[in-house]
Amino acid sequence: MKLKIPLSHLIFLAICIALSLVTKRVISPITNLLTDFLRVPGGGAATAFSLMFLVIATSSIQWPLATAAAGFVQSLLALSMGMGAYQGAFAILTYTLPGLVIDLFRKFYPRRDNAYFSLSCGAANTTGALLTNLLVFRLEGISFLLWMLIACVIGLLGGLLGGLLFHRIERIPEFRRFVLCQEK
Amino acid sequence: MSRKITIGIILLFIVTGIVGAIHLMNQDAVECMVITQKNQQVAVTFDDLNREAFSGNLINGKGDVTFHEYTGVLLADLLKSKGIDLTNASGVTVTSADNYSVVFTAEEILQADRVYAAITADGKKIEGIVPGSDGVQVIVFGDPNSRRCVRFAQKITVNIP
Repeated sequence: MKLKIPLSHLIFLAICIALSLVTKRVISPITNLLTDFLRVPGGGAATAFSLMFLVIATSSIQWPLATAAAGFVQSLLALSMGMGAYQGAFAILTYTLPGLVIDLFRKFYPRRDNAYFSLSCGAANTTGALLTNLLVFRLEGISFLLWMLIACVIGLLGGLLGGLLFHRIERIPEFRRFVLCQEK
Repeated sequence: MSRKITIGIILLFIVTGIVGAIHLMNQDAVECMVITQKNQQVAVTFDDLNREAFSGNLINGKGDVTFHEYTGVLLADLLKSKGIDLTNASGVTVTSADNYSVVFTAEEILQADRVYAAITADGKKIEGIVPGSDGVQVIVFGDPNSRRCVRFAQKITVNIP
């Protein structure tokens, strides 16, 4: 099967990957205020808002495994820019696998409503947090439960925000034409 | 569906708040030192040490005198609050996490404003042996140098002859 990828899709995906990385950098100090106060590691909370852009991107372009691919590219960019921090090479896994979760969600939940955005982003962020804990932090007991709950709640919130954003940009005629490939 | 999701997020938010509060309460009771007397061991938490502000001059190895402000507790008061009586004790040994140890006589410990266990110094938390963690430092006023100010204090042993 040969996959034909329009240039407009690649450009849109690249914009979303860049926005995703920038958002993570910008929002980290804010979410760290919360995680520092609760004395749990930061990162998982900011990732939710970063994943939001990947969900938007891959809801618009319909290639199989697009989010996993975007996550992989993002992990390489993050590593090359020194954003992998304490994760090191594990960043490849912690960025790619949440993308895979979004792809699976997309396959089994074809509607593009707020529930899709919220649940897929929540599930992806929780997967990322679980994986980071498994590979790096090794939190246990109540600290682990709190870490997972924060990742889940902020993931759901980030997804909901992504859904609202998607439904806004969906109305732009150029976006419908070039990204969603819908005729007038 | 959006309403259900919103309700779900609010419920999860409440659960997270409750778990966060429990987590923070557990954090406050984190054990930081152990007091040993004969075969008896008593745990000391950071809460036990957060009692009073004190300040004074310390002299370093070069003879420079510097003024510092601390939060902590007089070691005699800490031992008393843990039910430890120094009447029959010859002294107290304080050991750090890196096994540095210092001996104080019972008289030194019982002197007013002499030996303290501090958790903050000049407005900053005292760091533990693991970078970024909280720690305890023993502060001794009146010594000719600050060699007996044990950093990363972890164990207090009451010496009974």
